[in-house]
Amino acid sequence: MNLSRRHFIVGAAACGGAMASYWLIQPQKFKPLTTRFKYLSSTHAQLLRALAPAMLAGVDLSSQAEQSQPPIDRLINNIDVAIGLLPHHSQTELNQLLTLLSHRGSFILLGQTTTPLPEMTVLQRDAMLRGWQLHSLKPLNQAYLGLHELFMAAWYGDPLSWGSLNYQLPNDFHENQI
Amino acid sequence: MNTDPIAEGLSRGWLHITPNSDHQSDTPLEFDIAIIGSGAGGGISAEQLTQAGYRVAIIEEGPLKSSQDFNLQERQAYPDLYQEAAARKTKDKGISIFQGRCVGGSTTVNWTTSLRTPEPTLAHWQKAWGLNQLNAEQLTPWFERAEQRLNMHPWPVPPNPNNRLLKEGCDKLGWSYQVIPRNVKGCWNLGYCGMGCPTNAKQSMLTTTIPQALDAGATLFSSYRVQQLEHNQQRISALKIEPANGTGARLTIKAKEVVLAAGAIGSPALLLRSKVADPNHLIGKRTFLHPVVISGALMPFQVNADQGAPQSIYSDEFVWKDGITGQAGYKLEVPPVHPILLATKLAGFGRLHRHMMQQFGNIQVTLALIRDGFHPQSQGGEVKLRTDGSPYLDYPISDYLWDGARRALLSMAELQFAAGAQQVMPIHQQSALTNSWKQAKQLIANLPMKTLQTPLVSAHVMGGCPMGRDEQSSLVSDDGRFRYLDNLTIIDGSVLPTSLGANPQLTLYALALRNAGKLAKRMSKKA
Repeated sequence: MNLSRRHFIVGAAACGGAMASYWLIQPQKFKPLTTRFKYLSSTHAQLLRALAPAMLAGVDLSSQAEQSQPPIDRLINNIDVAIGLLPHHSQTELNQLLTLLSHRGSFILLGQTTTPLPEMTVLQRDAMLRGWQLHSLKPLNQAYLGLHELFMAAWYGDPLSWGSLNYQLPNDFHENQI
Repeated sequence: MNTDPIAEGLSRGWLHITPNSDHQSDTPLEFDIAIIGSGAGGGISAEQLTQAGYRVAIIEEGPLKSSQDFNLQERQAYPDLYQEAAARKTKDKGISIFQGRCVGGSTTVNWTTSLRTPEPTLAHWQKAWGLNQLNAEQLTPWFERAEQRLNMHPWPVPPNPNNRLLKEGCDKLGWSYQVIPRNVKGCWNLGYCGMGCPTNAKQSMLTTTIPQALDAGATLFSSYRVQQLEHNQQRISALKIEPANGTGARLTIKAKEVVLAAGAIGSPALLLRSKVADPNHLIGKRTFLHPVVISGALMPFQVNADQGAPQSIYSDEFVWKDGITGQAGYKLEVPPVHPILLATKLAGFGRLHRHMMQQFGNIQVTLALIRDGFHPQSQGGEVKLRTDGSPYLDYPISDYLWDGARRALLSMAELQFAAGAQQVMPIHQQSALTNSWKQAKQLIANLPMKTLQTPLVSAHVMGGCPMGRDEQSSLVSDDGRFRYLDNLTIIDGSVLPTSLGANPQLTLYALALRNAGKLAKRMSKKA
């Protein structure tokens, strides 16, 4: 069978389109995690780990000072616990958002960047979050606000994070409360 | 420390049924009165109606928690004691809503502010809603009874710095302010009212009327939700209740009379799920929030706004300034400041957010509660149902309210600088730290006042089953009787036809005392 140039171009475009579509629905490439969570998938947990240094810039998430658990691991564990306490409809919304962010194609649309999240610098992640914070499109604002609430509650609700705030419970209630 | 009345009562053998109870019943459980909800309306009703000699069931969607459970940590208190783990929001996510979901309802987690219904509100209700029986003179005995029952007194202790700065700012600017009456007895002045009082000093429904009702023989069903009211021929015939977390026995309750006290959002939601008659399509509409805007200030000294009675000073300078139906008015007060509350409500992220959090001890926060529901351009929101029957509130903010929000941000910034703030940050996604009142004025004038860019919160949900004289515009009469079901009385904040312009608990206690008493009289006549 002889292929015409037109057939070739159309065929190549179709193959390219199919490959592009295949690429777009692939998850972002994160390093696999060994920790298993109750509510977060490994990909969702890695996505949140990637956003944490921008959302919580100024917090030393990689500190080795804590003996039991690095701060970043503590944060993601707290997020997993927090998600479990939310009503079903909120869990569903969060899961949808994290799933969208964890696929290359939808991330390009939401992140308004072609750089995959694992390859972004912290400054680039900061800029992306800021874009969502101030965007004219409400779904992007809502996505930002949902993530903001999750990160801030998980980090600052943990008594191990209170040292830098100089916040502590009243003396009479301090023992055995943490 | 006051003793834990819940722990003591349970050890005395209170009738308390949870989904985990060893209680299987295929036959309906029968009572004289079923009370749905155990907050301000439900608690008062339970005490009044058991005292009148009736067999009462109290059905509460939330868990029974008491001071031995209150560990003063937000990450436990919010999921344990609040609707949707304190993450409830309006449909567009523009307003965060804090409502209690536990025995005692919002009274278990409120900040103890106890104010009578403002007279301009009552005057408006008479004029616009025909509520002539609810004037100040007629309500005074009910306010007095509630104040005595729940030990309400102006807070005698000097205000904590967070409140003191509100007072000092008002003094400097010549604005009026008052000392707040609080419903406490033997208060330790800790500042953790919003996480459940750990010392049982707060005279909430949890520590007062519910224990009294249970001592008098009432039965408490906690962690049970009333999914539907079964009704026919204009009467409720049964309540289908099911475990709030989905696991456990479903029960049927029959009662001669039903008191609906599930709160604004909860009560309209149950009526919608039950498909009760609503010929004028009113259920759930006109739900109000006192939408709150927030201003943070950095002081050159320690404020420690987490410590001390959370609310002891307020200012009504701007609530009625333009008349009852003029420009949106707002009440100034301060909140307790704890880590999750501050971190999640502080707009922004990254280094500036971290910088602010690290100034935790020097932060003063002021709130402005906007009085909604009095103006034609403030019609409130509407309660609707998701496909699973759970409720949400659709509350779009009008330009009228946004105007009020901007003026409130201006007032708060002016107040905070007058009180000595080094820097003020109006809470807004496009805000910044300002170094002077002049700079703040300019910033606020140019902020786009729109949903999601201007964070709003609410701790006062009101309306959705409005009372009134006119059948076309109200669902219940002034005594709470629902027009379309003969044995249903609504006794909670859902009956308010507008917001109040003041913190609601005392209004609700007074209405509950009055209307539960009327219900008891009606029942004794029928007997």
